[in-house]
Amino acid sequence: MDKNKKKECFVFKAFDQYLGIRPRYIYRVVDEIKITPVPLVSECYLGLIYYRGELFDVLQAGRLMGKVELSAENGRIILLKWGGKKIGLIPEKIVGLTWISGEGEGEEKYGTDECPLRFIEPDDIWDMVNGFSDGFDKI
Amino acid sequence: MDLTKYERIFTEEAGKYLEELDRFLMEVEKDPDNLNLWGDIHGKVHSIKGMSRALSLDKITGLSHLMEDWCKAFQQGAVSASADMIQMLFNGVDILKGLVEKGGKIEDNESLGAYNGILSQFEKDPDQWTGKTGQFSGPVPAEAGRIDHVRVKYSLIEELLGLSQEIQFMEKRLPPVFKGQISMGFKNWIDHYTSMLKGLYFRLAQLRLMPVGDFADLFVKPIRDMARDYDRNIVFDVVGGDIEADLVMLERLREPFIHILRNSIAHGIESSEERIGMGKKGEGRILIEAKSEKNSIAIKISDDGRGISRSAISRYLKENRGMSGEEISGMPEEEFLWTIFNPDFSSASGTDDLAGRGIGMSVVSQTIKALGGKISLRSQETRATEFLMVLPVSLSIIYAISFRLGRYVLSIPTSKVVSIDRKKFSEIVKDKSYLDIKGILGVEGGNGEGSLHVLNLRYQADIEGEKGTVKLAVENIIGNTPLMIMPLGEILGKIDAYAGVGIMENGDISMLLDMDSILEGFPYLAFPLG
Repeated sequence: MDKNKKKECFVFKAFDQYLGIRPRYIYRVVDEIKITPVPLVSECYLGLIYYRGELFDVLQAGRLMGKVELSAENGRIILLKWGGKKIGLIPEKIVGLTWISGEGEGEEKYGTDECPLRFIEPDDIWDMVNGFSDGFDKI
Repeated sequence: MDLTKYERIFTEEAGKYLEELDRFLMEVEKDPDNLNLWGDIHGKVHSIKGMSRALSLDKITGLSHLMEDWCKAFQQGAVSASADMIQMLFNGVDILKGLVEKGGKIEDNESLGAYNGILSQFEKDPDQWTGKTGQFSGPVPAEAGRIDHVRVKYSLIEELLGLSQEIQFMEKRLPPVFKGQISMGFKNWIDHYTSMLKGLYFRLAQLRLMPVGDFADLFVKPIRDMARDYDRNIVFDVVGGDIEADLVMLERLREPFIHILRNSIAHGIESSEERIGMGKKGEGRILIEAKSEKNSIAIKISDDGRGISRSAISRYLKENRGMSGEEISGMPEEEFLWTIFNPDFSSASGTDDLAGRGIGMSVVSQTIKALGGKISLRSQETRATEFLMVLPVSLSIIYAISFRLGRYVLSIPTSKVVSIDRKKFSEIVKDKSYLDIKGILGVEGGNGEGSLHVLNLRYQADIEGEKGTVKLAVENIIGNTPLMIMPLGEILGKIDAYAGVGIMENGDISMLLDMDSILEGFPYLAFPLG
């Protein structure tokens, strides 16, 4: 494979698939942060964290994508920041930074389960969040 | 009118002036012919006289009036102040201090004797005065006053806040720390240190906040003076005065407020005779109302005067915009009234005819816009005018009752809480007057046996036209604590039940409930406890 065509990608697993996101959107990966639960939200919304002076909504990535069962690796939270938006995601597994083929989407396989990789943009995640939060209970 | 608040302000202000007078007198003692210093002294005594007269504190007014005559003579250079004369003024200041401290009252014969004695001396022209000063000391304790306030330059507060923010930014640059990378002891130390930094910033940030009520108090005197100048009878009220706002923002609102208030008095509120003739109360009313909203603070200035002259606006639109009568009548109400914010509105129209409301109103709207806010206007001809300013909250710290409900930590502003009781769960279950907050918020988990805390809240939603109270049962009250309010993000902002996210001093999060929204959604009280 031509290395020039490869790009750096932050990979994590959610809903039985590997997702790749450009590293510049990753603000931090944190663990052991207390998540404060909030009433009137759907199950994918786990709560708020106050991390170094900023609030992040924390969502369970798998549930956001439709998975019902919960599993998370050490409770690590990926904090994303882009275009004035920010969000915290708890994935099932974090692979970390890796080089992947720029045009090989769906061809790269990860893990023993050989799941395909899908590139996503933060706005794709935001759209999913909005899909859920539009249904938040109204008072 | 309840004067208690104004008396408190008078005590604070007059106390400050009297301390300054002591300093000025000490300076002038060394340089008795310094006319500028006498001008300063004269100004302070005059201010005390004016403030005390407004509150009918006759004893203070009487003495300061006579002292002012002396100061005026020294200021004009008509008489050269001797050491004994300056000492007389020191004695007068001491007696004024005692009077201010006692609310303008003299409670014992000894003090009354001293007061009358010094009054009789000041009644003489200073150039005729030949007395000595010793016997006229006033009812003032000899010891130095207690220090409970210090003056700090605002720039120092800004500097400290800036430094504190810098330290917080440094914290942001700290790489993430994972389990196993460092010892638990070191991690605990970092956590404690960063928590302390948050607490420091939190307390410093409070220095930048000012209650809207205190801000409104700045206008009491100008309103009184303007009302006197225009021969108007006006009451000035403030609602929501405990809401705190950023000092910088309030400072920038000072001029626009003065502008709106001046227009209200000069051209909005009618004379008592005219008002009575129109079937109104003889006393006009100006009201400043503050309300905390989700991510903003709303401040309304209203009066019950004659409103904005619609004919004047129409005339302006015809003459300056070339609009026809038909076009004008087809304009939406809001757009029509917005005409007064046009920069050329006043210059192109007569101020008298326009009730003066156009003059400089563009400056008002520009200031609000510059602050990132919005201003809107409503006017009912012959009845009322109101300006509503909605301004972004850059910084907000409120006191709130924080409590646990199931696995959640929630808060309600302390200003909404009338009282807190403790009741047995069995009693609460039987009582149908509780708001089912657990049911509304979908909180799971039983209350169990034992007792619960009961919050009695006041709310503003109208129920049969009246404000009322409502009861909430909660499991565990954390306390009445200051919360730094952060705006709801886009996700939680969709839920009407929340007014903001509260950060406690230790960095813990508590959701601030918007009880008015909750009660608007459930405008009835009889709920079973969930």
